[in-house]
Amino acid sequence: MDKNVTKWIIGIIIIAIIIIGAVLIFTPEETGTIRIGLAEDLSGAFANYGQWGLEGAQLAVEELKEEGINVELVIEDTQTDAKTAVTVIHKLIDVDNIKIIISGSLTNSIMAMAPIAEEKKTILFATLSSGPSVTNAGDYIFRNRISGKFEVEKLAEVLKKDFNNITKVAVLALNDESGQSYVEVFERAFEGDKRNSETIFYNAGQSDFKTEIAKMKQSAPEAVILLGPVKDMAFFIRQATGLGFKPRFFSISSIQSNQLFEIAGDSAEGLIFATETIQKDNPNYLLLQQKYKQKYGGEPTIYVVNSYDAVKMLAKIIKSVGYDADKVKAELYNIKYEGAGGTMKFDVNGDVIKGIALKQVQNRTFVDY
Amino acid sequence: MSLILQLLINGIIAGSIYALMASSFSLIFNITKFMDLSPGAIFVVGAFSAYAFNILLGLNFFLSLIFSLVIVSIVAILINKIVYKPLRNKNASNFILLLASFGVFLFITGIILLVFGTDVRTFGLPIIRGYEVFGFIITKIQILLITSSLILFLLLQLFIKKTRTGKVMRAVADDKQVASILGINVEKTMSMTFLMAALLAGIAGILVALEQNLEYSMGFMVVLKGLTASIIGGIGNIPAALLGGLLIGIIENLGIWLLPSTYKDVIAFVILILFLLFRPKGLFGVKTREEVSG
Repeated sequence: MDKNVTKWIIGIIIIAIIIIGAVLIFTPEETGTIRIGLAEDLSGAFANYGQWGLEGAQLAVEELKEEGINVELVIEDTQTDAKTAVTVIHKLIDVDNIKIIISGSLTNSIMAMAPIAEEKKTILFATLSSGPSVTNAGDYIFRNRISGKFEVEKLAEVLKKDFNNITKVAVLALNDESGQSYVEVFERAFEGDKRNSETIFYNAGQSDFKTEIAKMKQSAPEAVILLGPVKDMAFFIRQATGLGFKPRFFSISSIQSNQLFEIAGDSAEGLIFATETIQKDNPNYLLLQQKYKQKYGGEPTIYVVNSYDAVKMLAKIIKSVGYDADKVKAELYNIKYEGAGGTMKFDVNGDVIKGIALKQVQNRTFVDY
Repeated sequence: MSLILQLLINGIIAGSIYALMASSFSLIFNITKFMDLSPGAIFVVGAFSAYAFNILLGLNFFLSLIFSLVIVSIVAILINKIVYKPLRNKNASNFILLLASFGVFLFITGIILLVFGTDVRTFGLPIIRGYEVFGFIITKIQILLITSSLILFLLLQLFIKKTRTGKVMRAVADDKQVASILGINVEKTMSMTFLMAALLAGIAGILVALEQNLEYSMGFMVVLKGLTASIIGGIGNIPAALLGGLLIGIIENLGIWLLPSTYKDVIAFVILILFLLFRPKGLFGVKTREEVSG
């Protein structure tokens, strides 16, 4: 072999060794920093949810630092796309050696990442996904957002109990795994009820609902159950008002954001929704609320709260049991954590156990029903 | 019956926007012979700059409209000068230019994302019940959207057919070399074409923002539908772009009378595939000189 080529090869090997050595030396684990993967939908149709997740996680990291716990978030964008979510989880596990991942991605993405997390024995902690299918996604899969199943069942219950005068009900649902499972739950819970119900699915990223409204108006439902992200539902309400369609609206916790008022204005007045209970006088919540207002302005959404709680809780568990997914998992099944969202406990499926409340929109605020 | 009328009017509303975008694509294609995707980005720039001037800076709407059209014109001319002109000088193929335009689209959309974030924004117009006419309902903004699209379309046609610049544009579209020999400044004509295409796309963006909302990703679907409309009408044929746009808007809206509404986009793209398979020149497309001789 040419001497120059040999020199080059040796040179490259030496540089590679230096770089690898430097990476190993400066790896955060060595310095006591806890590395947590954060897979959020930071772009794509539901990027607003990802942004909330990121804000909550960053506030938690700042607070943990004040408490002497250094956390590094390895942030990846799942782009509101299940295929990208798969790439992201592979990268976090295989390249970044992350063992604990928090994700505010939608149910489709969580369900796409879950088998990989299971296979690689990595904790996947969902903060937004409420699709009923996540319940059985695996032993390493946890979430602190309540399964939408309970919220939808609560809506069916209130419709049966308090709204007997309503004779026709329509459902608008996002055409994805969570939307379809919500509809199944609603239909099961509503089974036996003599009132007609009609379901219309819509595509993610849609902001023009004129045609769905025209179709829905034909059957003149007095109530519409909105099972989709706040932005979409707010557009639906806004456009429905413009087209002279004013049924009573019902929804689930995903509607609980000021975005509803920014887009739908007073048209959302009277909307009733089921949501997990957050005690607003809880000191942990008040602290988060104050810090959130200072840094980002406005009220923290439930996704900010869930992401914040997830980072704080997991960092504290890791601090106590070490950076070991199996030990963290065992701890999660037994924990009773007091966070901003209230007491967090998990059932045998890794689903959070929380209460459900009914709220309604009154004068552009969310009040108890 | 009122449902059909409502769906028809919904189709015309959507179709008016597709038609404006299709005209923008066709204008550029006529002159450059490549499919430029940058009008999709200009659509977003138009919407966000009008929003910034009107809502963030508090200027009145008409001033905001004028300033935003100035912005889209500058952006379009810069895209041509910085990206397309150097590529044309290197005799880049139409495929390379298409890829470059895709890059431009992603780059500008990325800048909008960086500046305005992922939040959905609206002009905050009051939500008022629309007018009921023959059983269908149409709002003021929707009437504005349809009428301004049609007026723009007529003005564009008049400009191309009657003005000297329009005739020069047609000459360059027909044969650049001959036009150049005749003393026509081809580069200047190209800049003028990009500017006009940008104005159409920018106004389309503002109209959609007024009728619905603004978000950084609003250009993706409109690019697909606008391209589909221009292909169905007949690529490069501007009056056909109007028909293509309206046709797509009406068919996709009427289609979901029978099919679930999640098939709305599918309907548009099935029509596109059918046209590409059986009538690739579109409804009113003309054969190119090469095809006639070859």
